[in-house]
Amino acid sequence: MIKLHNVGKSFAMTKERIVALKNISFSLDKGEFVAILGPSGSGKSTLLSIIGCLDTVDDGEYLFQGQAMTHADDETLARIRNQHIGFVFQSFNLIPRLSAVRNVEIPMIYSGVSRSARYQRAVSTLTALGLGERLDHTPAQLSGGQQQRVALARALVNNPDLIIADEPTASLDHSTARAMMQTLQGLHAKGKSVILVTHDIELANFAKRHILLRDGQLVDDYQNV
Amino acid sequence: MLSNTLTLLGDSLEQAKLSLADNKVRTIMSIIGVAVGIAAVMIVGIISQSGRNYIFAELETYGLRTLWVNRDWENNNPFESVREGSGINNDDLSALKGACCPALERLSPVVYPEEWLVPVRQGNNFSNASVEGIDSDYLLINNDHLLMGRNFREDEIRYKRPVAIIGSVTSEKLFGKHRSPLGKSIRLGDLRLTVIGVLQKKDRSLLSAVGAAENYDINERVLISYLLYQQYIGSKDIQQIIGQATSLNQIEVALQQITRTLSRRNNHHYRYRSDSMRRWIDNANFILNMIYMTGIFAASLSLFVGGIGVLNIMSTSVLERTREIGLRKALGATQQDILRQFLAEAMMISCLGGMIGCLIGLAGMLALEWWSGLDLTVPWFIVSIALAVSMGVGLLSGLYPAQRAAKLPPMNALRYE
Repeated sequence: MIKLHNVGKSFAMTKERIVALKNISFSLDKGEFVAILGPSGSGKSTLLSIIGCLDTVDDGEYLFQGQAMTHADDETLARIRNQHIGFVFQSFNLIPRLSAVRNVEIPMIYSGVSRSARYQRAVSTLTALGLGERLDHTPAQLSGGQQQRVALARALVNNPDLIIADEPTASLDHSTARAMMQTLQGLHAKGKSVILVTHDIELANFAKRHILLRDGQLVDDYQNV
Repeated sequence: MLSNTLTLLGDSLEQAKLSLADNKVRTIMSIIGVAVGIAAVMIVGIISQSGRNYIFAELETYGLRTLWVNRDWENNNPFESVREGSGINNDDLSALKGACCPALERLSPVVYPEEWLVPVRQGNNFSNASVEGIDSDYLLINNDHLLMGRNFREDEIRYKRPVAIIGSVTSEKLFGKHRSPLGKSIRLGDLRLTVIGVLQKKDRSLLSAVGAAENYDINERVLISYLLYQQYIGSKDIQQIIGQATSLNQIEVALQQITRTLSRRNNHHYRYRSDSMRRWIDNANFILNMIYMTGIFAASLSLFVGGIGVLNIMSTSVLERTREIGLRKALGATQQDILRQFLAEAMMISCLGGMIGCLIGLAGMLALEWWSGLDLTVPWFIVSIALAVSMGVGLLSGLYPAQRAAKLPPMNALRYE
């Protein structure tokens, strides 16, 4: 599915270069459920940017489904994000002025789906996640759990192969968080690859494999049994 | 492909509409900024265009191909004592009518006394009129039309018949508003003249107001046979030749032909001054263009300020929406998509501003028309340029913030509150 080989990334600050990632190598097979763990500042954001095709590597190589992303242009990266990756964020990142349906339609805008098809697919995805009654509500009119499900619907609507869930439950109460994790597990069971970023070991235990980051380096990579 | 592009366009516009509606006050302020700029350009354009139309309508009362030649009284031959007389006599006139001046289509002498205005009487009424001795082509050359009556016949000129054509104001002063003067007689000194025609009114109020017209009322004229007038004054002099060139381009040639013929025939004793409507028009054009450019420049400044407003608002909008931009990128937007969305917003502001500005300009024009009673002209050319400029302003001032938005690294904005 994805493969990282000696990946390094650094950023130019005012005086010096900050090394964000150093020599990261691992690969992920199709259908795997992996948790990436690490304290803040360990390079999780940068690693997510690279895996999610939002940024390119400085050193090493990153392959997405066998395709090298190292020197890929903006359009190629955008197409992969659009077609093959679904993002779920801690803070939901719904656009407040748009209704649930409109929010879910956004990825399809960028893949050129016609208006009517867009609407139908958004409605059916939301309905499958139990939000059939909330289609025209704006984010402010929805509970936290409902908002996160709208965000999940948005991640799933283009039927991606890889789901990147970045602290997806940190803003939710315990029971909704569990429900969310079960949904992710269900997706994994249906054959989707899932990357879960968290610092909560209890949540990480839903994943079959753990990858530990510290100071921009991969310190551990093990199967969770 | 086409429908795909249309969908994209429709989506960009819809997204732009929603996000502009999200920030109503700011959007409205920037729309007003652009609108004021466009309205300013439009009103300057309307005023200058209408002013030009009015001035040219008045200039046309002189006849566009008209030219004048007379003695240059201030410029004498330095090697001779200053001569008497106007330097043009009836023999010169016959010569000018001959083969010497192919660029001249028709001409008429104008005879007038040193004391320009002469009292003309009818009963107890009088009018201080400009009395001119002329030939029958005068009316045609001078773009004069008859309100009633007829022009001179050849024989009336040649045999010094005591008949006259009078200006509309003279007619009113001598005969009142409601009596027809045709066939009635008026008195010029001891001459008793029968009125055969009345001239249409000429409007030169704008030119008089700026001191560019004669310092007497052009509608207080009395025209008689030049031969009759020469006899009355007791001189063979012709004060001025008024003529019409065969075409606008031949005016300078005709003037040269006339002055050369006159100089040669008078052994270079006199120098001549020539003038033409064409020169007046060129001068007027030059001055009007200068005024116009200044106005447009001033108005453009306010449009520029409006553009800065759009730039400012789009920049703020980009800063405020880093999260949304990041999100859209994560969901598959290319840098181009982001660019397009922000440009659509900037364009929407400036186009709306442009349209509202046009409406304000039109309203301003109607108000001006109502207030001044003048007929104003909308210079659609200027309006379309102003609209194009406002769109350009939107495009340019949207481009920089949009580009910045497109290049933002998204992850940090997405991960943290």
